[in-house]
Amino acid sequence: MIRVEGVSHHFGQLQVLHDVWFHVPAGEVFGFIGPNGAGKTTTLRMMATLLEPAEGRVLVDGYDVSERPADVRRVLGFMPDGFGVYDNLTVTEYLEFFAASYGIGPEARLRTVRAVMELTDLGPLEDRLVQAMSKGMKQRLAIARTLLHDPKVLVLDEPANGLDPRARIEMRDLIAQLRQLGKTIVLSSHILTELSDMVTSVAILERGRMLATGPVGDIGEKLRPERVVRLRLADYPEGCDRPLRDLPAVTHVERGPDGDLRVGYRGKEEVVAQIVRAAVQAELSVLRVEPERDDLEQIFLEVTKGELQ
Amino acid sequence: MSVASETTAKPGAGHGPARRWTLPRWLREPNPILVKELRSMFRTKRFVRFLYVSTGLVGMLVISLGGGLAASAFTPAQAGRAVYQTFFSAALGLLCLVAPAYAATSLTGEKEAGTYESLILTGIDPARIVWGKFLASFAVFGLVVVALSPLVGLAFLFGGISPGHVVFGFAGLAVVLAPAVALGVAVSARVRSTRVALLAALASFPPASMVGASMLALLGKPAGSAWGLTMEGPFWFAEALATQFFHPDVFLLVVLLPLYLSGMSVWFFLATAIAGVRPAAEDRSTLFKWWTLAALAGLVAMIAGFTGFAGRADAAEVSVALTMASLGPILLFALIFMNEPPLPPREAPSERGSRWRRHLRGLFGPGAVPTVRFAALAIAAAAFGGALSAMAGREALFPGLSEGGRTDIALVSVGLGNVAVGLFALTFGAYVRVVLRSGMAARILTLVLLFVLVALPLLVSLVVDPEGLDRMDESLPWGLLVTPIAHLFVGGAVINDSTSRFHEIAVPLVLYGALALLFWVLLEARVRRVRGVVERQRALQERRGERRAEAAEPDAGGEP
Ligand SMILES: Nc1ncnc2c1ncn2[C@@H]1O[C@H](COP(=O)(O)OP(=O)(O)OP(=O)(O)O)[C@@H](O)[C@H]1O
Ligand SMILES: [Mg+2]
Repeated sequence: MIRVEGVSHHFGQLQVLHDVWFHVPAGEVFGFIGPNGAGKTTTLRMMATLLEPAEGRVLVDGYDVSERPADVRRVLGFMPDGFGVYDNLTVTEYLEFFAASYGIGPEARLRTVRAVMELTDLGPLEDRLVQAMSKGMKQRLAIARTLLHDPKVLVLDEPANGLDPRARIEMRDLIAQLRQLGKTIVLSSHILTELSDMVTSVAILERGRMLATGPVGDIGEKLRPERVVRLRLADYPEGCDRPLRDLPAVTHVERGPDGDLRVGYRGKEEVVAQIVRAAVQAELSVLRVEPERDDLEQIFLEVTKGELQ
Repeated sequence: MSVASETTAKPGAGHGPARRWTLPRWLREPNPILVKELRSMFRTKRFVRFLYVSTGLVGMLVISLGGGLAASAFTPAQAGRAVYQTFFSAALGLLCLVAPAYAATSLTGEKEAGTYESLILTGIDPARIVWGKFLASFAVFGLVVVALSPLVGLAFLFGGISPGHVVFGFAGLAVVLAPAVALGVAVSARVRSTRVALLAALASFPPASMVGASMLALLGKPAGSAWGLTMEGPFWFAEALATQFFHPDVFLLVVLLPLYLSGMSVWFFLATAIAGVRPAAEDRSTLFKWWTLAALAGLVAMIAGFTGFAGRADAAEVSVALTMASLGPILLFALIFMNEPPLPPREAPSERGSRWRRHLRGLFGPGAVPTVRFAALAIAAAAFGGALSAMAGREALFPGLSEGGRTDIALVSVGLGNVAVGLFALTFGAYVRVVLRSGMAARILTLVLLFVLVALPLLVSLVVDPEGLDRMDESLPWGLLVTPIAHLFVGGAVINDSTSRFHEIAVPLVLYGALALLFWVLLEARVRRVRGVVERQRALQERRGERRAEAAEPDAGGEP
């Protein structure tokens, strides 16, 4: 749905993106993560036709953003970070204004606005002035606005920024709902926990370079080939680790601080089954098997050096 | 991608199918920007406060003046007129000061609040944005004027004015308000920050309008004696309109001319604003081409008209002077059209339209070379339309006035010189624009170059031969002959003098004609090169994509 092909960009002397390639297949929720200044916003603005890549090209639904911006705008909804809203309008007026700007005729307009308000749960606030809304509600309103022309692709820059935990969960549900409607969604964040439970695939960007991209499951494997599973045993006889060490996929075994066996292995999850089987065959009494947490946060902290740019 | 999307793709024109503008549709689907602006305007306290303050100030001024006059030796009629003039001058001053500044914030406000890009991304036509902002600001100040209007009633208490005075006074305000607001919107579209926009608007319109108002007040004297008017002050024209609207001179000079000038400035400013809202990769010059056609028509009509007005004794000289003055509009055309990117916009709707329209677009449409072609024709038309219409106007009204053809020689040589100099400025600027990729740089460099070309030879010839300038009527000093205004001197000399001065006509003509040709050729070569580079880059990008796809094939990551 979205192809970013060899994009480089600079602002004056500052090189912001270096030969970035990635592909967002249709129907994905694609997380774009990287520390501050990595170039996320720059890339997203290119997708939204607000910025022309200095080198390389960006295709959205097959249209080149610099050659056919009008076509791209028709299939794409963009929510910038730090989006603005018109304070002196009510929610309905605000959405009607944008619907009219999208060229939706007066007959269809109210219907569209109502549908979008229902989807984003803004219905109860229809007559509220925008200036009297909370940040979370404004965020919703901004997303509602991007949905008015029923775009295939949604590009949301930091949609969970500044939301409280509850609002964040609601945002996640909204995004899941939108995904079910068949939209392709790209969202960015520098706070990983915000994203880890919303996205299906991610790209990690640092200092304008793509560190990794792919489905959430694969990316851990790609970035950190070695994973760890913790085994808790009833007791730990001398040499209990030997049968595990002998497995080809296992790289190392050690005792963790809490006494558990930490078994490092390479490869897919099936290896865990082999480990357990080996443990049982060696007549070790296994109480608990627990894969060490392997979330995006962890990966992210490991692969990026955490330098601000 | 699909056939359907190919045919509905139109840059910047909303996402719905293209529909024609009709009044019923406009009433049913009013400009969303206008509706939104008016809505939020009435919800801000600032606006209400501004209404209070402005009516209060103007009211105090008018009432204190009225009270003072009533107690003085003036007749009531005189006092009434003084109050009338004061009211309208104060209202005019207020509008000239505040309206451009207010309009100047209309788009920068959205840019700063972060709503501008969302608006652009809806695909709404930039023209609708600009019109909406213009109409909203216009309506707001119309409302201010309405709020002020009861104060003019004081003038009625004294007498000496008629309702007609008042109506035309308000019409005069509207004629000034429209360009004031349009200028503000244009500034707003072109800059990023509200502060800069405010400064630019305040630095341009109020001083210009002060000059304009004082000139208007000065014109009151001759107009008063010509048409028997009694009113003094800048709003004398209201009396002329109220008493003799259909007198031909009054109608032409006080009705048509101001309306035309006001309308043309509004058009120009709004076109500037629309071009500012459009992305750089889109067509920004076509609007100015239409404007230029209207400006040409007005220019030709004015030169013919004023030559006719001049009266037998002055007709010959006035016609030459006006033809000389058309160098001004010619340089303006050159400055407008030199800022065009080398290649036409990639989204040019070239697939649409009849064959003949496509052909026309290829010849004169967007892109540096077609635009220069158009501007060259416009320059020629301005030069010769002016000269020929001056001749025709004079011949029609005062047959046989050409004094042995001298005036006609002067007109033609001035016209030719204007063409050569205008084309030189145009092609030089367009070439610089394409090389440096900056319209601003092109315009500044062109103006600096023209200035240097005038000043330097003049200085040199003054130093070399201080008496040369005194003998200008016999022969032009060589130094002067190479300046871009030489043809104006020659034209002036020809009319006073029967000797043949063909070499003096020929030298600047050949010089600037040759330079214009040179830069035109350079421009075309440059554009060809740019096109080659762009095509090569595109091919390279295709190849990179293919190579990448091949390399990615084996591990087949991520693609469903
Ligand atoms: N208009 C601009 N002019 C100059 N530099 C810019 C501009 N926009 C962005 N940059 C610079 O480009 C780099 C990348 O910025 P970008 O906004 O894309 O980062 P980001 O990943 O979105 O960061 P954040 O997490 O802070 O939003 C930064 O160093 C920033 O300072
Ligand atoms: Mg950002």
